[in-house]
Amino acid sequence: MSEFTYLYRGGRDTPASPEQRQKQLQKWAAWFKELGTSGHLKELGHPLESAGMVVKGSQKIVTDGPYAEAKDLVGGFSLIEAKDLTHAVELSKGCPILEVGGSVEVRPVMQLNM
Amino acid sequence: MVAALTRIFGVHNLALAEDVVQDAFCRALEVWRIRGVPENPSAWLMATAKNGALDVLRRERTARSFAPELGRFLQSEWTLAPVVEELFAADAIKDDLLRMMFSCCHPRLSEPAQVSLVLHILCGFSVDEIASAFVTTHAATEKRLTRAKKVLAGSNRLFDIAAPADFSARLPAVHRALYLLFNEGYHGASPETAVRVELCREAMRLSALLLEHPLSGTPVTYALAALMCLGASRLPARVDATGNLTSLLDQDRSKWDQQLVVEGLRFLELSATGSKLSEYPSKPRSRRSTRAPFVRRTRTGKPSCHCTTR
Repeated sequence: MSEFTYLYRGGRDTPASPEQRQKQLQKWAAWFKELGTSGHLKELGHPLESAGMVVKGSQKIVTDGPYAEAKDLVGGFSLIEAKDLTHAVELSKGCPILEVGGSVEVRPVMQLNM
Repeated sequence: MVAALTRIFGVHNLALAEDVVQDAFCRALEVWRIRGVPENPSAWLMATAKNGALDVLRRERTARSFAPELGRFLQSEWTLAPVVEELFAADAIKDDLLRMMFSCCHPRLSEPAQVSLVLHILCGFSVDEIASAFVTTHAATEKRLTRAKKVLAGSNRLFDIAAPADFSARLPAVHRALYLLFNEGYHGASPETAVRVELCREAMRLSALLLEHPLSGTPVTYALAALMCLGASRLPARVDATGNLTSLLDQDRSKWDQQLVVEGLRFLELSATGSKLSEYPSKPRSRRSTRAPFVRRTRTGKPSCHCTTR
């Protein structure tokens, strides 16, 4: 089994009512529970606030941001265990963000050896 | 509330659960004094306790471990709020109360210790109130509670109400604890008031909880509930104007709570199913001769139970 990161993007376009938001959250919780019981969930991770800061360059310039397009903004992350990239991709298809126009980026964790 | 929070925090964090509830009540005193009592006070308290729980969980998630079976779902913002929300739902809370009741009736605790724990955690009685119920000192009650809580915290998790064998095994202990509780209210040993209605009410409230759950809604539970209802129905007539106990024969029957009598007789009918004989009275259907159990103190001061017919 190898580790993969899910980077969640988008899905925050349409303003949702509190009930809709609660329903979405519950869908996420259910999906995570499923991944948990099947033994594929390594770390749940966290959702992320959109507004933050960006530090760039050797001058360490700080700007407000990132002001990427909503669909490109990373909204959260999780860590998954799967046999290979194809398997990780299969598992990601259950993610509720896909139903609301978002996307899941699946990236293998790089093993750095010295 | 303590029961629900202990489910989330884990039984080893019982003190933390009590703190959060305490904070919610303190907050209520502050806010309600200024803004007045809200329309639904218990919902307000629940919501405050829930938010308090979320704060604690976020603040302490690196330092502490919480309920083992919830573990990682409390660590991530993805699932923290939904999990807490789910555990505060009405049905979940009823189950939590049951879980806590059964946990309090731990076999390693003496019966007075079990009842003290039930009164403290489930009924919110203060140490002084429990001390007066058992006619002991504040210090002795506090010691008993501290030891009992240690035993409770020592068990890895709250009692699993989904395991039928364990459930049925511990149910008699729960029955006995509630029976003792009722008896203390019906004819306790307190010198000031022989009858403590609030103890009877708490016992009846918790018995009603038992009746709602399929595994504990047994004929014996119905018999116990019948006993309590019929006994409680006579409480308005039991104490006369000067505060003395009136015997059953001398009581003004018009003062008996008819609703409770009807309820009690209904439970009596329901307890007549099943093949097991219960030690709790399950006899005459007639309104006129109900058996009245009472606790008599022997010379050594130890209570003994009698069931008498009058």
